[in-house]
Amino acid sequence: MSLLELRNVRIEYGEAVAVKDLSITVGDGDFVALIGHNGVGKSSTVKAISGVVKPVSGSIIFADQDITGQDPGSILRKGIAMVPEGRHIFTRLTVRENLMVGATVDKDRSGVNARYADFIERFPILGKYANRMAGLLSGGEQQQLAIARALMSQPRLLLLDEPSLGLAPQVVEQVFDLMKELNKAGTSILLVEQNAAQAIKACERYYVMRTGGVIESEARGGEDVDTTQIEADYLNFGTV
Amino acid sequence: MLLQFIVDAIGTGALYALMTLGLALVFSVMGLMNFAYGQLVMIGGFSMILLRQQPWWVLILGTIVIVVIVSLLMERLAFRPVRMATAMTMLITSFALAQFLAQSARVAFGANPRPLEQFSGLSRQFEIGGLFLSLQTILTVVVSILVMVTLVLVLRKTQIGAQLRASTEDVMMASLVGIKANRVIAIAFVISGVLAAIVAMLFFSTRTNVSWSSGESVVLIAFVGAVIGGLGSMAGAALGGFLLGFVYTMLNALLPVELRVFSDAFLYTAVIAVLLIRPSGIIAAKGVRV
Repeated sequence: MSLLELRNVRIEYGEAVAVKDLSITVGDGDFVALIGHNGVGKSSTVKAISGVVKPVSGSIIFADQDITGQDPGSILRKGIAMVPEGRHIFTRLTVRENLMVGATVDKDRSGVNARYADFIERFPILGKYANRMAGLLSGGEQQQLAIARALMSQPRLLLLDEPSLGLAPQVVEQVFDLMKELNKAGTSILLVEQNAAQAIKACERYYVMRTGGVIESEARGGEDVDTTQIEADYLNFGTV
Repeated sequence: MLLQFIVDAIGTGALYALMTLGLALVFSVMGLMNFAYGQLVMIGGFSMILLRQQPWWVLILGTIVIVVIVSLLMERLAFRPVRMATAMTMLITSFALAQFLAQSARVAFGANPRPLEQFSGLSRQFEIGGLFLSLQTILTVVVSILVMVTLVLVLRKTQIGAQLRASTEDVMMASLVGIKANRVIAIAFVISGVLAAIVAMLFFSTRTNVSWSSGESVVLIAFVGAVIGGLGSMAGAALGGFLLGFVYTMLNALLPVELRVFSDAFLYTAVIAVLLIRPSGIIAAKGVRV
């Protein structure tokens, strides 16, 4: 059964069409990747799901409810959290404050405090720097914070937009391990990535997006998938 | 003598810092330079006239309540409908609103300044180590410090403070974590209204009248203070406002008598010099340029 379903979604920015006619699904507990070149509409897709942009047509169904065009707060309350491209942590807030504002939609403050205590154990580096301004963290630490902040709202579906962007290869590895771990723990994930090889190996299923925001293909992901062939056939990414 | 001037300048600086903070807070949260902010102070002045015969605590609370209500109405009726419009549209809206409020006050209270009965106790002087301190100066400095400390505590130690600061930094991300823009902006206008009411009480308690045009000088001071301090930075706004008031008073005290008439010219030349050296203000917030 689908947790998330996009039906014939079209996204425009003025005259420019970012996504023409997109239909994808993410099942409950799935780890799905959306890969493709820069500018094919991947980020626009997750922005539409999270409510940052409104599709001009089509529908977005989450947990059997039509969430098309709803505002980001309402969508978050329904259980979709987003880690945007560029992390967008609040640099002038401390690490602790970043995590706490991540739980704004949760009115059970004792529950939020308990989750915070759990998270700083799970992400020791965030616990270590809890009272430090988030802008002082390294790129990898900021990405951990961005993911942890999104998880503070206890989402059913986590959207990640280019989480590996600008990170050192070793740190990218850690971020992918974290995503796999979260998925195993039950969080459904929709990952948008240019780093096709790593995304395909991490996910269960992936879509390849082409210019104009259409799906070129859908296939099974996993560690055993030969990504060299996929890159050569579909993406021509070169070295990833 | 110099020390006496410095004490007086600190009093003016503290008042100007408060003036600047109210304007800077709303700018930080929604990128709006609210030129109608001065009219909130003017309305605070007229509220004081209306409540002058009431017990002091009624006057204080009444003035705060009236100004906060007007501030909230301002946000709800004038700025919320144009929030998604360009910065220029919001700026013009604020100019129009400032004119509307000033002219409404002119109709309601007349074109001539309305006398405000003085608060005689405030002119009491204390001599400490050869320095003369008026109760007014002491009150201004103490209230300003208390207000600023409270503001810092609210912004730093409360959940709503964190949400306000998050919204000032990244409004898109703030909405993605579920922070309600309407609520945060309304709270910013409430705080701005409280600040305007306090400024009105401190400002008009040294004056003998209130006029429909009284808000103009206030918003000019607040705007210049916020710009030289650094738009988008609350600490910068407080510093900019303080320096403006401090330097203004010192110029008036230290300039030769024949040059005092040019004190404003000297002051604003200094402001231009500051902006030439630091175009984004003394403490610039990220991504904001004057």
